[in-house]
Amino acid sequence: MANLTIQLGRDVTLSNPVMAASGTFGYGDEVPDLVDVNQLGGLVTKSLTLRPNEGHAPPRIVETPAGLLNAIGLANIGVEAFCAGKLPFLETLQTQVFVSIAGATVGEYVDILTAIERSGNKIAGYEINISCPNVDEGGMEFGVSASITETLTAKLRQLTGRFIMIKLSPNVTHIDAIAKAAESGGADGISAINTVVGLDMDPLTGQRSLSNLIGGLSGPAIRPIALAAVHSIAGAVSLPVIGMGGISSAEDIIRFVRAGATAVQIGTANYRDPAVGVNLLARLEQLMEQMQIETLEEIRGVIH
Amino acid sequence: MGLYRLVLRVGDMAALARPGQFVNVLTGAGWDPLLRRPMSIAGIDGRELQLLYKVVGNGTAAMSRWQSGDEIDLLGPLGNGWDAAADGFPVLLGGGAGIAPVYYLHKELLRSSTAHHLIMGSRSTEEHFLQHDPHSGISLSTDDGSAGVAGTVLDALHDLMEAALIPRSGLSLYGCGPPGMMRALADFAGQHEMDCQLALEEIMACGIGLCQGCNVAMRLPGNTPEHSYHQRYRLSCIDGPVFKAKELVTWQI
Repeated sequence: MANLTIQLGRDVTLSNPVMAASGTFGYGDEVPDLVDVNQLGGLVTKSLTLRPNEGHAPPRIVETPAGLLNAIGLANIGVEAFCAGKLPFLETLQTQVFVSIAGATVGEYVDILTAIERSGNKIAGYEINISCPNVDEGGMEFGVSASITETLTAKLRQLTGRFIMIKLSPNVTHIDAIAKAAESGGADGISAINTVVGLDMDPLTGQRSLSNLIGGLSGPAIRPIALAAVHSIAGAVSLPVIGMGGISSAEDIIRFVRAGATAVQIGTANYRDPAVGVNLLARLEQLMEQMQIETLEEIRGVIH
Repeated sequence: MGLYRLVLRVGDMAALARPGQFVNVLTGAGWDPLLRRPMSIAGIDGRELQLLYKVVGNGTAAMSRWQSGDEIDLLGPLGNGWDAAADGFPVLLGGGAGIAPVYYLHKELLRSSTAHHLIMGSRSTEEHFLQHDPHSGISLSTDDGSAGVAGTVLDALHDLMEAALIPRSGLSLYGCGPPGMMRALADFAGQHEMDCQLALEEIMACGIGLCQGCNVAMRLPGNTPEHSYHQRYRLSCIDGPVFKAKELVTWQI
């Protein structure tokens, strides 16, 4: 019998390895008619900023070959409205909830996390989105600097005993070095990858496809990039890696486990079918029986 | 190039639909296209749902190859739908494939014996499936003059007013069509202080508010740098696709 339970951290157990990725499942309260969120192993909420954020002007999305290019601009309700309006619902869920946070300065990350800790909630932990422009560093992303990643992680570590996963950007030269920095700062896990930087336009008119010009690419197109990143990270740190990037089948989940992931997140595929994560579980068990394994741990990191 | 008509047996879902709503259609199992395609509902007949569309890209091209008996995957009905209780004599204006949500409303108004006028515009006569008969409440317009009024749907509207076939004031406009037509309608309604609803056709990923990808800029009072995204922007999928023209930033339609 396949056992899908995943021990992610000392205090965090997932009923199965499949989580919904940040920004693809809202705050969990938009889809109850379509899918039972509690059947997911975990749910990462849409990234929160300190203040409500209107996001970018339209157009924000464009479809590309096997991919989705987006520049939403972190549109979200802000931490205050989240604590008042969304946390009470999230606390009723049986699935493990991770709150994604995004700051423009180290101080903002601290303030957001502190506000959520103060509201005395029952969430499992946090995902730290470090693919944000750092105002104090001239707009350079937090996630491209190992030293800033370590400093930020260490600051947040002092504020909570809950699970902290740092979500890494693939748009760096050595992703393993950033992962090590997060580990040194005291992270409990690494999630990877965030979207791959991309651009598109109308070839004949030259009209930009996104109001922001530059966006982040997700979907099946980035799967091999993500697998290579997860493989590199898993070889560099002893923390659990939560892999993501173009997962749309049970076979894809297994690919990420073989690359070194302990759990996975599904993102863009939710836009095609919000129930995809739950629906893949039966097929995943079938494949595990076919491979004659009881737990995914048996094949984690195993590539011949 | 003409319009395609697709009739889908959707069962109980049909009873839930309202004019102006849409369905989000998965056009294939592969990754091209990756996302569903939002399609306005063009009519409901019993347990059947009708779509009217033009082949404009890979999604609609795939749909045009579907065979009778194929099973497809769609989510819906989604969106808010027209506010059919608006005051005034209803004039329904559809341009090209934008006829779909307008045609559904037309059928519902016929069913409830509500007096109204339907204007359908297209480039040429091949896209038309109705007869130009202004005295019976249906007018056509074509860019090339091959059917009905030569010109735009607004030219047809002017002609109807001149001929006193519709009131000169107190109209309530319901429009859907290409961006240029919708901008012209919004401007016209603004100048004449007419109630005007527009069904927008934004690119969407999820259609259910998850991705925040289909935002529409709103012209609302009280915009400040710190408002939430639901004040400056609305989402076409869950707040729309029907919006009051006067609330839209029309350059962006």
